[in-house]
Amino acid sequence: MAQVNKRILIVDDEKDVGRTLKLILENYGFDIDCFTDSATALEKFNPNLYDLIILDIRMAEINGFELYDQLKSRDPKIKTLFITALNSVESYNTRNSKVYPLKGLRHFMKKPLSSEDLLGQVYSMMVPEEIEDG
Amino acid sequence: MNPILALLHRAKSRVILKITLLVIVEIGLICGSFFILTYYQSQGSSIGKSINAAGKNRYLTSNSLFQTEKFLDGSSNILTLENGINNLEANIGALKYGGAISGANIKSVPPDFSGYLNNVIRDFSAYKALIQDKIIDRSQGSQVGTPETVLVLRQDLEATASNLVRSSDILVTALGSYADNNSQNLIMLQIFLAILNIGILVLILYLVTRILRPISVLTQATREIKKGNLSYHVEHKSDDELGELTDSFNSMINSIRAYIEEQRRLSDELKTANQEIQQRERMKDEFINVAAHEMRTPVQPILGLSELLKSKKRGNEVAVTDGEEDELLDMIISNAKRLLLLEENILDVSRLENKLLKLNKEECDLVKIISIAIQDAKNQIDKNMVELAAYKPTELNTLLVYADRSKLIQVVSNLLNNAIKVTKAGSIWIYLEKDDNKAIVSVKDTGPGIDPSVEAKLFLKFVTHSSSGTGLGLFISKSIVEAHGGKIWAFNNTSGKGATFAFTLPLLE
Repeated sequence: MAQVNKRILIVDDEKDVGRTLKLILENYGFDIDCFTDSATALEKFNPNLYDLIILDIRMAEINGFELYDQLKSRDPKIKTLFITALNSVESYNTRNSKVYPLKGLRHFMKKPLSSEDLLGQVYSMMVPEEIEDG
Repeated sequence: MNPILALLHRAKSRVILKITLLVIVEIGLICGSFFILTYYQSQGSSIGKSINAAGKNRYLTSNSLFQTEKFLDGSSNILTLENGINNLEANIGALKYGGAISGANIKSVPPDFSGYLNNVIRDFSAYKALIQDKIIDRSQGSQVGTPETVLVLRQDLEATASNLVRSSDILVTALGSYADNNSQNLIMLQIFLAILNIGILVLILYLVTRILRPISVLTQATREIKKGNLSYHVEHKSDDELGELTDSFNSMINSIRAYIEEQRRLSDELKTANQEIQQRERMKDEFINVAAHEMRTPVQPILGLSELLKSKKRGNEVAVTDGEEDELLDMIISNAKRLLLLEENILDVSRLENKLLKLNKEECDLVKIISIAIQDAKNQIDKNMVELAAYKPTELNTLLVYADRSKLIQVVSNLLNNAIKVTKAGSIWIYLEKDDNKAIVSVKDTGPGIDPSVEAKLFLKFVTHSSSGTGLGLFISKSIVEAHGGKIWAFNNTSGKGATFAFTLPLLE
């Protein structure tokens, strides 16, 4: 298994989901840190360490949008992929978050993700020329 | 309608009756005044005629004296003499008894003047007797007397006539002063009646205004009500139709006010119902969103791990050890079960709503039920972070209830799962107690406690504050507990943090 020397942070409060994504990506040579709650993620977060962060949206206490906001302030160049099992992220956004402007939400995937889709998205976001994270 | 009937009908109207009575009083007063004045005037004119007649006595006496003189001179006959006396007598008779004299009807002089009239009559009788005795009786074919006796007679005649003229004058003077008084009294009476009439008229006007005052009060009231002042009340002051109108008016306003209040109430109810519907719609939308979330979440490990294991099975290099494979398969199975549980919950809600939930009640032991639920729950917790323990009185080895076993396990598991979900690190204790004829099961955790925003509607459908969960579990648990004749409730722990969820069940007797 070739190492790609890319580190990804996954935060999903569903333990099994986080573990599944971690296994899939590790299988393709990525280094993965996975946390099941936002507070631990913030505590353990190391700026400039990660090439990508993958955030669940619907989480207790600090949701994905709020977590993104805080991580972004500590590492402004960080690329973010939001994943959610919600049917309508718009309705969740209006009700549960005051901090995230929906128009900036460019990388968004709906669970369940197939390995293929996830890798395709992660690879596309790893291309160095494309600085497009929102 | 027959005009007479119409009149009778109108007469029943008390307002018209009141006004009619006042008009009759006024008419009566005017007529009375007219009759009184007419009577006084007629009295005055009859006194005037009597004065004329009494004045005429003087002329008739002179004329008679003149005729008598002429007769004594021999230049006139007895008939002319008698005629003069008769005229005088007729005039005096008219004064006493009334009658027609010279074309004028005169009345007898009022009794007040009979003394004066009697003097006139007395003097006339003396005069007439003198002429009768001394002239008429003696002149039957012969001379009246000697020139000496005739001279004496002439003197007597003049003196008697002069008496008659004097007493006639006195009568005229008395009647004249009476007429003067009368005419002054008449003027006073006229002034008095005029003032009385005006006064009564003013009084009648005042009474009519009083009778009709409710109309202006009602007009004012309609203006107020037009402005929207529906609490305006008109005071009832009279017992006639206007009083009835006031009552009707007040009751009409009351009806309108009640009607408007009823409309407002209905409108408010409608608004509330509408808000409830909107709220329910929102909750339903949210439920669909959350239910979709809950369905997709377990699919992720099932899908991802299956793909991984399939890839490994095909001989690809996969970073999963053989030892890990069993663990991953268990994850797939437990997530599949979670999906199934969700589906069951949704069906349960549907059954509850349609009252189709069936309970297969049997004799079961709560001690065992709790132990099964704890066994299931233990698989889900991180034993290093969370302590899960059960407590019961030592003498309590069995606690029998008549219930649906699987549904009771569902309730206890639900409460435990909720506690596990909110307790990342800490303790979860489950207590079983016996209180008289009921069992109490409580699940206490050291999580964040119940959020005030959901506290009141904790057991309602679709209410959830956690990041996972459909908000169906507590609703189903409540329905199941209540279907068993028990109660369920929750509260934040008074000491320490976290919340306690508890329910009761009646014991098997």
